[in-house]
Amino acid sequence: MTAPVTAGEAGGAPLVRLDGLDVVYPGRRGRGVWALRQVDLQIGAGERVAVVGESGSGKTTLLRALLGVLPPRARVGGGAVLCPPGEPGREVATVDLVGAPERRLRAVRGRLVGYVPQNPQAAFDPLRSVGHHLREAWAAHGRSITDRELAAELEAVGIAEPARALGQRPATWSGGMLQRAAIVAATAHEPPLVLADEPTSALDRPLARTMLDLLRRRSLSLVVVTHDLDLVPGLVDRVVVMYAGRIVEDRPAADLLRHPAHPYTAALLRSLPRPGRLPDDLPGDPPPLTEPDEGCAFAPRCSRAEPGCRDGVPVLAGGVACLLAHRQGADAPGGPPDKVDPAPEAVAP
Amino acid sequence: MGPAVGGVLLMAVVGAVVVGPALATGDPDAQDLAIKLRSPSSDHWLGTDQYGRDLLLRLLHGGRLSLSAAVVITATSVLIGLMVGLVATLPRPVGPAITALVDTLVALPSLVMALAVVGALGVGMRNLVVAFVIVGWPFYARLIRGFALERMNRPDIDAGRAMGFGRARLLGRHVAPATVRSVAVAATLDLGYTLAALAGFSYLGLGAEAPTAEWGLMLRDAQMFFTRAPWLLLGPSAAIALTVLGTTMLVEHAHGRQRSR
Repeated sequence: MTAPVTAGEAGGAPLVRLDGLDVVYPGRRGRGVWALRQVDLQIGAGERVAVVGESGSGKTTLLRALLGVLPPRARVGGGAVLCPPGEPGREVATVDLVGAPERRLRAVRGRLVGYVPQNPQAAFDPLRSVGHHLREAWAAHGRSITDRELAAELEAVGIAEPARALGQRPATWSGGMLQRAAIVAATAHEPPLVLADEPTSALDRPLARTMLDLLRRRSLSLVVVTHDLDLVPGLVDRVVVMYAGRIVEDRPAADLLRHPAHPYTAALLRSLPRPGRLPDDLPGDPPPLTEPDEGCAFAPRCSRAEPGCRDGVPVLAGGVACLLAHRQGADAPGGPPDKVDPAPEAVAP
Repeated sequence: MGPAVGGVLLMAVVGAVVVGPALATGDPDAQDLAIKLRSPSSDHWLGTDQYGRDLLLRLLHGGRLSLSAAVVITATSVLIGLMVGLVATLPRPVGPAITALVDTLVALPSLVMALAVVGALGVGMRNLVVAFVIVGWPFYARLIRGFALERMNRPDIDAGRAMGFGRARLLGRHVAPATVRSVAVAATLDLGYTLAALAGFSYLGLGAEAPTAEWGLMLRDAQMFFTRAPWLLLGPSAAIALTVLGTTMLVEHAHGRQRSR
């Protein structure tokens, strides 16, 4: 589905819009795995968003949907639409990221949506040189780049002696160097949206920070999946918290980190290591994703759950999907939804 | 692991067969009944056969035929297997249909199938090669499909997809070369096996025909004079054994290197 939108008119329109997106991976005996349930998400032009959550919460599936690479066997409901910015007054076609033909999606990947992989060491073809991989990033959309230009690109991201390094195999590069090269590849066509799937999980902390700064510098809009909430401040404008395939909280980064509204977000923050205090464990496991959810998926692990929490699935309102937070928000009109104190409490010896 | 003894063995056999006929000049089919069934001597290093033909010359020339046939069979099987195996990774309905066909072919006993094909096409070295290719490629197709599917899920292929490349290009440029590397080990092992099987078919009278010099055919001739001239067996049987041993040891060596990496 493609519908023309005039860029000038679309001023302020979101760059990407997910409307009630469901993604189910078919399983045995008709029992599918619900990777995403009713996900509503809008990302504006120039906005930077972090997606956090446990393993299996749907973060990677969300990125796959945004990149238009959901596996063909996945059953998809709802919509995911990319509205790329165009020259003012010129018509640009929106792209249905979950329903467009493969040919149309290929034109989007790399050109309109860049992707930075999780493990740079595995993301390069081991049989070919790093230079070859990078040149392919340009060639994928019919452009070519000279060795001199490519060396300049690498130098700009802090790679020493780029001209010599280009001919080397990825095995001889360090993880940090490869991640820099991967960022160059992802931003080759200056795409309006860059996706990064835990781009720092294979790097140590100071390098992770450098890499995220680099990513921030080289992208317009950014969606970064991360396990590490400590890397979020200063990197993104908004944080989206996912649990069991649903978005449970979606608020500005500063507010969310200071006053998490959802008990799960609060628990995630309490589980971060802090000086003078042991991180709190979050007991229990996420629910099985093979069954339709009835009620709040987090309720079985939530210390504040009430019987009413299991009666209906809370909707995302005011940036949070929690009945308790909604009730407290209603009690205190105009105020922030809830204040769950995430402050490091000194429980250390 | 020590030096690649298998590689050296194989190089020695191939070298002898390629260079040998140029050094030891003479017609391998030239008969001289006056010197038939002579034991090894300085004139005829491996002796002569029942027609007085020089056995060393026949061994070197015969090796060219046996080895090149084995190489052609293996290379063609890998090539067909590569193309079919890569196509078999496509989504429904093409991929699964091809996979089912390949699985069916793999399940048939290959030697019996080769016999049937030779029976249908007629006896002869060329038909034997065709028969071996017909029964050989499905094995590679299945192997390559497995390698390719595993490879398609790797992050470097994902990265290529994220750049905007389509399946065909990723298969051809990135999956196929890596797959061929993985298959090379199996193909090397198969080369020795094919050589032995070819000799077996010729021995049974289903391959090369007299007076062609060929290792299996030489063994067949030798059998008739085994009690009077046992040296007739020595050359061809040693050549086959050394080649098979060479390929096996080479594969073992490559395997060990891969593991120690």
